[in-house]
Amino acid sequence: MNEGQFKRNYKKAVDHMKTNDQMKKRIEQTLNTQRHEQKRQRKPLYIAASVVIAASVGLAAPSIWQQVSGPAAPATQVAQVTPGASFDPVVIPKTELPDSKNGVKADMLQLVVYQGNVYTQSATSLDGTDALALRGEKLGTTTGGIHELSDKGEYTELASNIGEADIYAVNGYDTNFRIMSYTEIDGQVYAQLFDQSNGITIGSGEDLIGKLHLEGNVTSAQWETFASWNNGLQQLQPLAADKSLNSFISALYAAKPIATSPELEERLYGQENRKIIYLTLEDKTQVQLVLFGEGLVRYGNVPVFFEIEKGAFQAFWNSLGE
Amino acid sequence: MQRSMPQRGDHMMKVYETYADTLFRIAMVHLGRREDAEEATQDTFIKLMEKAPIFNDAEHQKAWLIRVITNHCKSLLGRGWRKREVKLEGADPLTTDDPEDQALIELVLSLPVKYRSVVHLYYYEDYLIREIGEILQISESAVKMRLKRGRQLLKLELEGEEPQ
Repeated sequence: MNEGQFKRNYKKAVDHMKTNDQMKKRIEQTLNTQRHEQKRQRKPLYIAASVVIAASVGLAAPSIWQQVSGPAAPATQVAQVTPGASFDPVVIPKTELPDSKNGVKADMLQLVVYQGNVYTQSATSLDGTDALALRGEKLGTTTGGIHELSDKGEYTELASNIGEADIYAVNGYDTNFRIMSYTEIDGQVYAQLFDQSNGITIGSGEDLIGKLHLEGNVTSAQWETFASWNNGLQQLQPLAADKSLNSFISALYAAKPIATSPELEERLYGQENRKIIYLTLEDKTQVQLVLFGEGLVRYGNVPVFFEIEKGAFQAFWNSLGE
Repeated sequence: MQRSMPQRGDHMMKVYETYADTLFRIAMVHLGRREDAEEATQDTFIKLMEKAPIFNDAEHQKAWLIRVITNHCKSLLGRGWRKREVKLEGADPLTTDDPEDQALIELVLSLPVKYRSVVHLYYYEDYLIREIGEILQISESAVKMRLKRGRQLLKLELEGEEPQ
């Protein structure tokens, strides 16, 4: 058989392999069960978003870094975070409402329209059982109805692609940045954070990361290798919430913003030298950050990378191990 | 009380509708039995729900799902899952009553497992060698090697130039 014949015949044969409604129903039921089980086990809800942490930049002084690096790492470069250093700002324009050309992305990312702005699902997660303490003033109820083919006219106040859900402010966070959906069903709490990370100008890491309230608030941390993340293995490893982490966070606040570009993303995502860290804060929110081996950090899908001072980044990266 | 999370399930089912057949076919090519392929497909969607990775775009998401289910199938087979190999004789038809189609699928299933995914992604999903390398996280030369060996085992006569 020649290659062309094989390809045609193979496609024809494989085309017969199809899922069916019974399988769909079983999986739907399983996913629903799994979701509720996750709630009972207090597993965090993973959410995508964009956040920034507001904190002061002054903590990352070289002396602190030397202190946390300790004598065991004498060759490590000293972090030279320059508090207040100015960079060319990255302007993230107000979210362009989806059209048919970018509909796939719109479908993948959950969103809520509030006060004329688009809030997308946050990269900060929150266990439903911890959500009540964070629930603030009720802001309204979403109407649903947005889908990948919606035009701009359908992006009315509290329209969403998450169905009907009550929307609340989040205690401790500015509603201009973060809101949450919150519902109780049969005693189980379902909550999800949504952030507005568009229509902002980012002059340093603080302008985004600062909004996450990381500095001084991390109570525990974990990290994961790219291989684990990439294969969904969730092999989380402990990460000490100590001075080393605090120093890294300070360096992140002072980091230089770099706008995303197709070329940059192709380069970064074409490699595997990535590590993912998960920071749990005092308010029980869990922030996920992706570290790229060449010294960049990204929060969620916000179209900006943060270039951290080389020594600070490398020391922290190395401390995570392989 | 309105529900705030069910939409998460709704979203998952949209993803399911988009990729279920693709993943199911990959699992079938690896595992050879419908119920096993369904289970692997289900496990993959559970991983997606639990992990909720952030994707750059739909292709990124598709590649992630293919990688996860491929690794999952290999892992199952590598562990001697259910202490069996794919025994086709006497089994229910994998795909169709058409004996020619059945024979072709059985031929692919007779390949060593590491060749199956490459052959399937190349000849069915029409991915380029470079893309297969990215999806499976192996080098392009490894993809070419597996494709070449797969063709030999399938006794395929190449048409034209070696695809790049």
